[in-house]
Amino acid sequence: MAEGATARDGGGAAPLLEVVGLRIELERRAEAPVPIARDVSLRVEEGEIVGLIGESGSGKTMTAKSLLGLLPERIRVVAGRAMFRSRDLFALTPPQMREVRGAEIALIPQDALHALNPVQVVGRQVGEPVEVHARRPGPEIRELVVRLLERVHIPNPRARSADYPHQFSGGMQQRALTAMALSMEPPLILADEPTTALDVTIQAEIIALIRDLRAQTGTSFLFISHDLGLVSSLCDRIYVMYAGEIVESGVREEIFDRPRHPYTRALMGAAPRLLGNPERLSTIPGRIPQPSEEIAGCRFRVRCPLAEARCAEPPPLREAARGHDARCWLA
Amino acid sequence: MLVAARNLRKTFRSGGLFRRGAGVLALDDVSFSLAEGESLGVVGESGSGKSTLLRTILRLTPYDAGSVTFDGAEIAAMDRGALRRFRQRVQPVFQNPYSTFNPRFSVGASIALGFELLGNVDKADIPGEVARLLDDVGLDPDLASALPHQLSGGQRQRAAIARALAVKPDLLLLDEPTSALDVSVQAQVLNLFKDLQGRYAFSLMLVTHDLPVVTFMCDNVLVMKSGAIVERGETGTLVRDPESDYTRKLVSSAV
Amino acid sequence: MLRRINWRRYGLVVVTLPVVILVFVASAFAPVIAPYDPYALDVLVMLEGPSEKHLLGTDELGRDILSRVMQASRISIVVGLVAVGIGAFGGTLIGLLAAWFGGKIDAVLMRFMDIVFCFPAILLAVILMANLGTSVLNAMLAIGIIFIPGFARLTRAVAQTVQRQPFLEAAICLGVPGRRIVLREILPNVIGPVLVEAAVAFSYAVLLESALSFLGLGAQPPEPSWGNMINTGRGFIDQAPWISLAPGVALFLTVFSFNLLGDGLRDVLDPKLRG
Repeated sequence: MAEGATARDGGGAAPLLEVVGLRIELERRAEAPVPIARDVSLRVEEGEIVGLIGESGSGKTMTAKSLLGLLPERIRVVAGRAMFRSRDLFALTPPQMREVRGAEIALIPQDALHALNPVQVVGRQVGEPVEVHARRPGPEIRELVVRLLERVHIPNPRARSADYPHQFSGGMQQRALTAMALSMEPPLILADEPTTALDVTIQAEIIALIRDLRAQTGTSFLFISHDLGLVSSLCDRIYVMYAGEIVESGVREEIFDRPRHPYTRALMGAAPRLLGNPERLSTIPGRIPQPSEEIAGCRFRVRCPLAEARCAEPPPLREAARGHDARCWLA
Repeated sequence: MLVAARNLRKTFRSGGLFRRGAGVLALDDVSFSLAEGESLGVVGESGSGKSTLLRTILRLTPYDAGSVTFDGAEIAAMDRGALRRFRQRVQPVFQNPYSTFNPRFSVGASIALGFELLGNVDKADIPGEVARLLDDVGLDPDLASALPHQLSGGQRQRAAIARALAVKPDLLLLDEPTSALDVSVQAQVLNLFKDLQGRYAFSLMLVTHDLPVVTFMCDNVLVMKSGAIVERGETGTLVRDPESDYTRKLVSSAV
Repeated sequence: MLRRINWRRYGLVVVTLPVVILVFVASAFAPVIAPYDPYALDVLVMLEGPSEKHLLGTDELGRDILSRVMQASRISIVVGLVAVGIGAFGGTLIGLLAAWFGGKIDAVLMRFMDIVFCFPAILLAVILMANLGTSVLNAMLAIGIIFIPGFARLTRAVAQTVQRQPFLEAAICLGVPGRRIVLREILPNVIGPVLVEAAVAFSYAVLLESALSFLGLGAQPPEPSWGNMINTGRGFIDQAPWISLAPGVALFLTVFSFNLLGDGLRDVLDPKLRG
C-alpha cells in the first residue's frame, strides 16, 4: 500500500484532484446537445493510483481529456468543476492550461506506437516538456533525459536517447512516453489505456513500472482502461463508468470481491478466465446505449436482470458499504 | 487429419530493384496438425508468426518451404476446381469488424455471395437463406438491407460469421475475432461461436494474443514465438503446468 | 430528403458546375448560337474593338472573335475529353493489372510507366507529329499517352490499399473469381479518385493543346483554337489586344473551373463530409 492510502484514511488534507458534478455535452447543429458524461464526480489523492474503467461509449476517455482541456471540437464541459491544487481546471484560460499540461498534469497517450514523432530522436522528444516549461540549458536537459530513461528501465540510456522511435520496440516506446510524462515531475499523470496496443508480457512490465514509479516518486495516476483484470492488479481505488455515469466506486478489494452494481458484476462474469471457465460466459443482454438515447431512471435498467419498478426512478450514487458507492436501488 | 503442416518456412523480404532486405523469418520450421472437430488455439505476441500461419493455411500468403495439406491435398498444388472446393470448405473471420465488409454493398448482398458462388440454393431462395443465417447468428433479419457502417462492431462481427457460414465450411479460421470488441460484446460473440460449432459442426483454429479466450474456446493450443512453435498441448494442462519459460511468462502476464 | 445544400460537401461543385456547363454548351452549339460564321472574312471591320455588333471585337481578317472563341472551344473540349479518356482508361487498366498480379508483372508495367512519365508532353507530341504529321488527332494521342502513367499510379495505389482490406480477403477466401473481384470490389473504389484526377487532367489537356497550337503543332489555320488565336494576336498586341485576350480569358476560366471541379468532386466523394 502506498503512503497515499494512509493519508486518505486520515481524511485531513484535500485531495490532489477532485472532480465534482462534471457534465460533458456534444453540441449538435439543429438538435438538443448529447450528454457524454453526466454528473461525474471523482477524486485522486496524493500518491494514489485510481482506475477509471468502462466500455466504449462510457465517457471515460472524454472525462480524462476534459481535465487537460483536450476535448475535441463541439464537445464541451457544461457543468462541474475540477479542483486541482486549489484551482478549477475548467476555469483556466488556454495559456494557463498550457502551463499545467505536462508540468503539473502529464498524459501518457493511448497509441504508444504512433505517439512519437518518427523523424526526431527519442531523447529530444523526452526532453521536450522540460525545454518548453523550464527552459534549461541543453546539456542539463540531455543529462536529465538520460536519468529519465534510466528510471523507466531503458538499458544503455545515453546511447539509446540518440535513437529514432523505430529503433525502439513497442514496449520501449511506451517507456519513453512514460519518461516524457515524468520529465517535469508532475504530481498527477493521466494514463489513457497506455498498454492496449502492447503485447501482454510487455503490458505486465509497464504495469510494474507504473507501480514502481509511484513508490519512488509519490506521483498519482489516473489510469483509464477497459480491462478489468489490468485495473484490479494495479489500482488502489476504482471508478466504473457506464453510459456516461459513474455507477460504482470503491477500493479495489471492495469492487472485485463484493461488486454491488449489476453492471460491474456482469462485466466481471463476461471476461473469460485462464482456468475454470464456465461452459458459457455470462452476457449482458442488448447493447451499450448510444449517448443520445434517453433512458428514464437507471441507465442500465433495460439490460439489467434484476430491474424492478423503482428502477424507473434515477438511483443516486450512494454509499453501499464503507468506502464503496453504487448507483443502484438494490445495492 | 483435416489440416497438416510440415516444416513450414516463410521469410518476408523487404527491398527493391537493387536492394535485398535482410528479411524477417515469420515461420520457422512449423509443423502441426488439426483433427476434424478439433478446436485449436494459436497464441503468441505480435511478430510471433501466428497470423502468417493462419494466412498460409488460407492460401493468402504463399510459403517458401514445407507443405500444408487440407484433407490430404497439398494446398499450394491445387488446380482450379480443387481450389474452388477448398475455398468453400475453409472460411476466415478477421479481426477488424470495421473493414470486414465492402462499404458499398449491403450486408445481405455480401452474405448472399457465398450462396451465389456455391450454387446450391435457388436464386429466388437466397434472401430467405440469408435471413435464416442472420437469425442464426442472433441478428435481426431486417439488417440484410443495412449498409455495414450502420451496424455496431459486435453486429458486424456476427454478420461476418454469417457470411463465413453461408458456404457451410468444415474449418473456420479466426484471426483475433474479438480483440476489437468490448468485453461484454466479446462474451456474446464467443458464446455464439460455441453455439454455432454445436449446430454447424465445424473445426476451428483461433489465433489470438489473449490466452483466456483460448482456454475458453479451445481443446488444444500452440504457443508461438518468433515464428516457431515453443509449446503445444491440451489447453488446461498447458496453462496449469507450462513447460517453457515463455509460456510461463504468458500465463503469469494473463492474470 | 435534402432540405438544405450541404455547402461543405457540395459548395465547390455548385459554384464551378455552371461555368463548366457553359463551356460545354457553348462548344456543343457553337454553330447554332455563334453570332457570325467564325471563318467569314469581313475586310470592312478588321481589328475592330469590342462593340455592340462584335461583342469581343474582330481579328486582323475581320472575323468575329466571339464566334471564333466559341468554335475554338470545340477543339479544346474534344481534345480534353479524348485525351483524358485515353489516359484514364489506359491508366486504370494498367494500374488494376499491376496491383492485382503484383510481382514481376507489376514491376515491368510500372517501370514502363516511369519511362513514359519522363517524356515532356510537348516533346512526345513533337516526336509523334514529326513522324505522323501535325494534326489535332496526333495532339490528342500525345496528350492521352502522357496521362496514362498518372492514372496508372493512382489506380495502383488505391487498388493496393483496397486489396489489403479484410473484406477483399474474405471475398478471395469465398472463392470469388479474380475478374469479378477486380471489377466488382476494387474498381468501384478506384472510380472516385480517378474522376477527381480526370477533372484536373482535363484542364491540363486543354492547356497543353493550346500550347501545342500556339507552337503551330495542333489545330492548323484557318481552324481556330485558343492556342493559335493567342499566337496570332501576338502580332497585334498593341493595336488589338482583345485578339489574344479573349481566348486567353476563355482558356483561363476553363482551366481554373475544371481544377476547382476536381477539388469539388473530392469533397463530394469524401465519405467524411457525408450526411
